[in-house]
Amino acid sequence: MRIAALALLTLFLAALGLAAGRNWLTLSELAQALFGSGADARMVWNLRVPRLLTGVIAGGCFGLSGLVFQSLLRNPLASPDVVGLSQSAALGAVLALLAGLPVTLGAWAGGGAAVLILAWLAAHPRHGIEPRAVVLQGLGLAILAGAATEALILRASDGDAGMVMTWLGGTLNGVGWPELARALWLLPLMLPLLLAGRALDRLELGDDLAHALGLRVGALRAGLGALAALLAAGAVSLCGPMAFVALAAGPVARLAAYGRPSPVTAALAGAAFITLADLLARSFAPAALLPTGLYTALIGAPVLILAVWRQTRRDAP
Amino acid sequence: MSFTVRDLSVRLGGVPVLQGLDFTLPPQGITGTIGANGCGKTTLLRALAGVLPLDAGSVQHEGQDIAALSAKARARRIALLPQSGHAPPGLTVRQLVASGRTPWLRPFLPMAAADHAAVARAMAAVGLEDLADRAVESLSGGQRQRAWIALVLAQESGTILLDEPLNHLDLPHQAGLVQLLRDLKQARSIVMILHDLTVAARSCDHILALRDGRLVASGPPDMVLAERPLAQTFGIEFEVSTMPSSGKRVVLPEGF
Repeated sequence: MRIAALALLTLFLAALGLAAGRNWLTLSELAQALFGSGADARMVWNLRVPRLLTGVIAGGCFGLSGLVFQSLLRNPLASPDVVGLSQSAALGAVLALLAGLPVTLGAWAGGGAAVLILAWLAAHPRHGIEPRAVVLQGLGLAILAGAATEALILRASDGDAGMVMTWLGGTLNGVGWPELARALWLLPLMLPLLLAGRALDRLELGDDLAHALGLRVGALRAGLGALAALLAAGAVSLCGPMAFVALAAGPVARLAAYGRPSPVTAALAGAAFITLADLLARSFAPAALLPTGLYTALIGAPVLILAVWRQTRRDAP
Repeated sequence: MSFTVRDLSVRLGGVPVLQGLDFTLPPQGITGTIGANGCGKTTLLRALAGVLPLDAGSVQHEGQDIAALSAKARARRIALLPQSGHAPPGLTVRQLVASGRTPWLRPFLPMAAADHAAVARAMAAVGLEDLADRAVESLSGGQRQRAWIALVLAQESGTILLDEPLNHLDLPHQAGLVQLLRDLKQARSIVMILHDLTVAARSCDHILALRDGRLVASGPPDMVLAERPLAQTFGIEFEVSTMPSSGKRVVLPEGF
């Protein structure tokens, strides 16, 4: 029920997103633009449709990735934007951008390096990966990657620096069909994670128990973690490190799915989140070209505060 | 024979935890594993469950080397309940118990009628039918422990391994759980870790005693729960006597 409601909300926001912008379209104008021709049709098909779909896919990737990391590490704060994965992917993407290399590859290299560093740092010789350590060390990694990115910006030319700064805020400005084509490559990577709900559910009961229930725990953890990292880094390469989307999507999805780690719900929550934020970015002061990430932060920061508040309340004796 | 263990050695992070264990467990009944903290009891249970790579030796379950079994086939034969069960917030008793069906499910398909029936039987066996839709975290300690036991019952494996199932339970709940396990042992073999040696004497059919990763004794309670092997196992003296009224064995540690 709640999941269907979330899906409907995403669809509604998407439809609103197509109508919204500097020129608001009425329902009949939108229908005409979608199925007809003319200036409105060109605007909708060349600008709004690819921008919307890219945002939906990026949001889905962030949401899935956030849920998978939070579930694997059994910590509601362990999302890719907290443990330094998004920041490292952004660093790799900025390096690639300045060097004229493909942005996605740079983001994947950065995100992949972050995951390997964290796994190596946090691996406990007797008990496997230590979730608390991953979160704390990831926080350090996030600051380090952010500082390195700032150093790159300071050394870049004014034009490059401006472009990178906007992108780092998380933006869908200028996204068109080529970016959507890149986003489509992420869909096959999403599929295994969308089907991994049961495995995540069992892994949350503890590694030994999951193992004894017949799961191949090591392979599952490595595979799910690697896919989640690729998705988060891929989404960063599309629209920059969109603040709080990955972090907030997990708890929202759990609320909608009665506490269970439902990947489909998390992907929907992420997609709805970015669609809503982009809707706001294009509706309020569209001329200012404010980054979409500003609005995800404005919505997401209260969610973060709430998540921590709930966790401390639960952990209290 | 439920388990035949030959020359079993396990290292964790390079540190030897179990060294050269050799023993055979009877096909049915309850085996109690005793020993001081850190002697390797939990590691032995994990090795029997096959969730741990062995350094040397072999573990056979009913004549089959468990290392040669697929993870799923192994899970259908042997269930393990680790000590620290933490249910995610909001998880209901029914959902927790249903996890036990994992090795019987087809990938990506929902539970079949037979699975739902097994879950219902498991909850009935521990007397939690009425609390099926309550959150696990909202239950009392004794109810929570029974919910976890129901999970391994729903797994319907011939052998169940329990890591300190009596921990954190008050005396009536301990007695209730031991009674439940004694009912279960008609159809399954059970290996559990426990600290109370008088409970071990009364409820177990076989005892494994460990010290510093080595086997001190393996045999019936009358043989192992005696003053000399217990002193070797724990490094302190014991007084073992028989109650004149019931003929049951009482084990008292010295030094209190």
